[in-house]
Amino acid sequence: MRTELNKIEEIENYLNGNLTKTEVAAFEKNMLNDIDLKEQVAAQKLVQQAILRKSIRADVMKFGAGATIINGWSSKWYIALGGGLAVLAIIIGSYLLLNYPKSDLIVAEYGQRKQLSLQDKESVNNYVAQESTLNYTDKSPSNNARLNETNPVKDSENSKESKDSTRNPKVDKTSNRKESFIGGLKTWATPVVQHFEVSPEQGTTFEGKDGSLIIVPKDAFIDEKGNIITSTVTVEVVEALNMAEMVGYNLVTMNNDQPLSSGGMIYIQPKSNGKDVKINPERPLYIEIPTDNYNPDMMAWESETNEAGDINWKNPKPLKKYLTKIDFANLDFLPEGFDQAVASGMPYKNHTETTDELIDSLYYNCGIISTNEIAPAEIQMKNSDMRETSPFYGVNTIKGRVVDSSGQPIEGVSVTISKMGKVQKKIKLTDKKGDYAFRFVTPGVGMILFDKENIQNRDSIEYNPTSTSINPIVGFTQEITTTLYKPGEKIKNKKAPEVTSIPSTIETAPEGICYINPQSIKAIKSSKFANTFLATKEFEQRLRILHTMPNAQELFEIYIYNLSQDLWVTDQKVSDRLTGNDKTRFRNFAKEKLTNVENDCIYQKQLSEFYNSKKAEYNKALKEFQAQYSSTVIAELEKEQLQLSALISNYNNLLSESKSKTFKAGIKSSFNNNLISSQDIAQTNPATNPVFTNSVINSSNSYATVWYTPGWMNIDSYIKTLSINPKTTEINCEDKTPNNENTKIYQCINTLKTVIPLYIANNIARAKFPGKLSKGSKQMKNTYCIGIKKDGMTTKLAYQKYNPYKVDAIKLEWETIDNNQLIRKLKDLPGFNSNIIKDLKTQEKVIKRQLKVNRQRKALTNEINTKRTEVDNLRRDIEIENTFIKSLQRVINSCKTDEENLNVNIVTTPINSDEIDNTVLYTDVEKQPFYPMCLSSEYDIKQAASCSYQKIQSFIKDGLIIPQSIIDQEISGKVLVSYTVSTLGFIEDVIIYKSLHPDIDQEAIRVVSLIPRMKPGVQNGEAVKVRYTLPISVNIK
Amino acid sequence: MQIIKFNINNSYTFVNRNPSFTDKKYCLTNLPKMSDKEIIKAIRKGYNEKPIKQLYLEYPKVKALILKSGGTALIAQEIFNDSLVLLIEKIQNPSFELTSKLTTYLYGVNRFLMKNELRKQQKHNHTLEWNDTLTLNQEELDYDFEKEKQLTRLEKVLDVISEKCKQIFRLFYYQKENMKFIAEKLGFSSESSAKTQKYKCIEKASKIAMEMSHPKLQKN
Repeated sequence: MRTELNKIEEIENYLNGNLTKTEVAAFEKNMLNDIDLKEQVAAQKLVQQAILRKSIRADVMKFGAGATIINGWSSKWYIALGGGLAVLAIIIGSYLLLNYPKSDLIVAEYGQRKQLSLQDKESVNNYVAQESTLNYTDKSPSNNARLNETNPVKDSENSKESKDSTRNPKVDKTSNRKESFIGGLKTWATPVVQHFEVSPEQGTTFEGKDGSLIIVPKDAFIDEKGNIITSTVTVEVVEALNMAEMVGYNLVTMNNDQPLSSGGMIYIQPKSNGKDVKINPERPLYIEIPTDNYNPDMMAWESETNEAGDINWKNPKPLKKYLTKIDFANLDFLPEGFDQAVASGMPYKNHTETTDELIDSLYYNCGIISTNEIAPAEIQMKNSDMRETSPFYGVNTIKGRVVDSSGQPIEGVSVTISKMGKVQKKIKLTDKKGDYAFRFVTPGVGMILFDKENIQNRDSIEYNPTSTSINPIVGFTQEITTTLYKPGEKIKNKKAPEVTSIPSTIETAPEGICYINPQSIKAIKSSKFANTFLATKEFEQRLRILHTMPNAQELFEIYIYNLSQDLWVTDQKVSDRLTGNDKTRFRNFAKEKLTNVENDCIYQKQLSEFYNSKKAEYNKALKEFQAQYSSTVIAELEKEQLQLSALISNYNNLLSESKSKTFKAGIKSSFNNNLISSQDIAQTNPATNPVFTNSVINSSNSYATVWYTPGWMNIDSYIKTLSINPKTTEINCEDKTPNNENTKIYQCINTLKTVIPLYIANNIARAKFPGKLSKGSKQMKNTYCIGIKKDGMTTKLAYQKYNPYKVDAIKLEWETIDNNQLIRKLKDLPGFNSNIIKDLKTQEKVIKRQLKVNRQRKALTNEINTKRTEVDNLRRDIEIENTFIKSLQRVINSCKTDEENLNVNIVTTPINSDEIDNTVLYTDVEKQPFYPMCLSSEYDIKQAASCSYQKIQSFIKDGLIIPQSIIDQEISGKVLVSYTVSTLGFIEDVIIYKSLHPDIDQEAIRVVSLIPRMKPGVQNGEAVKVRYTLPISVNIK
Repeated sequence: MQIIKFNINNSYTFVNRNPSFTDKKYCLTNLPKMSDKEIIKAIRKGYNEKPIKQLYLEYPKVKALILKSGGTALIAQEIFNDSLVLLIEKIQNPSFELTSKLTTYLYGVNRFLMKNELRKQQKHNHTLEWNDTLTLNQEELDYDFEKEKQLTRLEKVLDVISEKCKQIFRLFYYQKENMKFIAEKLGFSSESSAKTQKYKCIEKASKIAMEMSHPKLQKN
């Protein structure tokens, strides 16, 4: 045994009391002289104590409640694995790590990181070495320089055309290169560099292809010595606004080790004569980047790149956005979808197409828009009763009276109120005085529909379930004399705008409620307010939201009274008055910290010019599209009509040739067609309410900042959730070809626009996620892992989508792709190609949908009308023929005729229509539709049901007038009438199921459709359509 | 005879007529209760299971007290475990004499450790109003902060030493087995080779311990 070990044995014996008294004395004497020995004893004692404590702790952990067992120290023994002393050496190394017991995890990760990054650096060095050789063979120092060399000729050509040419950037795509650098960043795909020429004496505004706006004020560039450059400057711009570009350009979103959520990146490098120039710190650039998902926490970050070409973001600065005034003519202050609603009502009066003037005048007067030919004069509403409370502060009651043309009140008219774009509907029947009232109406623009089906006096009205309604848009018509501004109020423009009286374009306008007084909207569109925040697209955006809110007028006036304040102050004030979602929306507006229009700001003129032209362009495009589409729709419609009429004539020809038996079939089939059509209409009708999404150009959603440094800029915000409670997923990025030096693995969260580079060790990369229950975990569910590698000439891509909370390990499958296709491939991934300029396209879709529905409805109405005339014709034909046949029969059986015994006996019994009708909607429901008078409390459900049957029977008995022709011809038999009680209780879709004679059929339809409105049937607690078949027996004796 | 009471926490408690248990509450378990003397005896003999299980029944109450004093659930768990370890260490020392009830002493240790914790977090303004608890000070507990720190570190070190060393240490120091038995059990060729192995393990561990007490050496 070694002497050291002997020493240890001695100490141990001493500590454990295994020495004799003399030995102890000698040892203690030694200790006094030998400090090293003393220390060793102390250390050994400590070790022994620690060993004991460790064992006790293991027991405590084991036997104590809910504790975990520390491996190896519990009472249970495991078979020892080799190791021996060698392992002890590690102790010293790992001691450092164990020194911080509470932050074990973090420290361990740092340790790993450090080791890994060392590895990384090695690979990076290889990378760089390889690169430099490649560059050497290319004989060009960098991509940028090369690009510039190609440019001067073009520059001189284009320099004569100043602004217009800058709007159309020349896009340079470099040839397939192995290595691409841009601003020190090493990219996988070759970046699309846009070049803009600027003459520094003027300054320019230019827009990138993805919608970034860059404003260069005059004298914006200086050279190295600080002198202002006067010769033409070319600005290179690379936009990376979507995930595909970020990954393809190796633009990771990291601030050191902190992941960021990006709102878009842009590279700006001004150059003069091929040399980089600086930005004049006194006259910096102004950059606006569009976004479809505004995040108020965003900041502007500068970039730094390392020698390996990787990027890191630093020095975040708050964003600063200037309000830009825009001509009122280019702003849309009307409620969303109003113009579409007007368009869908065309043609109206003398107008066949919508014009701005028409839309505005309709809005300012909120008059009737009739969707069909029936003159609105048939229903008049008494103005004085319309409003119960002031329209200015959240009106919630709509009252009215329905009278006929002679002024008599009409009872039982069903009045439906429906909000535009919402499913919510309310129905009321007018009372004896013809009055109706809706209380607690949620504010907004909506429709009131008057259904005249139940109007008794309707001799002149043909039975036509689809065209007997007019739908005025609810709104103001009464003259508003209130001025918007109280005298003495401090406003920049002290004169109160004059409110003119309403132009008399509409004579019979019913009164209703608009939630922001249209007159006040009219009033603010005045030149006096052109220099306030009212004339901005930001205010336009706020107004759009205000239009949908209950106390809109009140909130609107807060803005009006605070014109001299900054916009965000007012936003804050408004948000204080709100709750819930609306509050957050306006609080977010306030977070944008938008000031007022700053007329002395150096960018204001350029911004105004840009946005005015942009808005005008956009509006024009929208209108053109609308007009174009409308015309195609009309053309299609005409075509269809032609086809339809051709069909009808064919049909008639065929019918007239056939015999009387087929006539009946003919009637039936044509009625069935009719039924289907009306159902189709019922389905399409709800969709006529336009649903509009906020368009981007119309809204203010963009990040903006003043920018001083050339190079890459990033609009980013911190993600706090990523670092908490990490959950890891292992990504195996092993590839058959062993060269992994140039491999990079990115963890991409497309909802956050985050690209995190992962460190690879032994072909394994670890992606970190927040704990499953923590806040950010929802966004992590669709994470993409993207691997890119370059092996010499070939580029390989691997991507996989995974849910980190379901899988702990994934394996990447590599595929070789053409380098030019990299970005395109990435863009195919969902969420990676969020093209922000899509508003017009979205609008297009909505308009198309809107017009399609209109078209369908019109086509169907047309079809029905044609069919109806067709059926009428048929009916007449059949009648003539039948009369003819009957007269023949009478001649044959003349002896049986006895006019004295003529007696009418009608038997009606409701029967279960299941047996005969398969097209039922509901035939058997929990609660059957009840006749209105059977609803009083005296009846229970069963009684009410039988009461309903009786009432319907007697109703038909009383109402049925046997046509003279039936009496004449002594026709007896059964007519089966099928009808539906709609979810609103109306009798709909009345058809003859079994015909007896055209005259009695028609009469049966008339009477059945006159059945008063019933209480709808109920199934599972919801009102449902119920179909009945009612037999009417006619006995003529 | 037992009287079952229903307390607010919905856990059943019973009062035993045995005078040594007086009015202290014990949660229902299947274990027959050990007296303080029995517990001490068992621990000194190296049977830890039953005492720990019984003492652990105090944990919910201690946890509540710690939470009240500004601690977290995690801290409560740590402190209670530490105090149990300390208590067992104390009991294992033959010179230890119990002056109060064992549970009261345990509360006292817990209170002391919690006070420590608060000092670490620099929350001096927390008052530790633990009713009927011994107020133990550093001297009474023989608690050396520097030593405790080193012990905690050493414990961590012992986590990563070789499995064989762990086993030798535990068997020899804790279970007080003789080297012959250990050599047989762990498959050493002879008693002396097991001994050599043990001393090698100690050598390494004490080297670390020495480096720990000499921060300057540590850097070298």
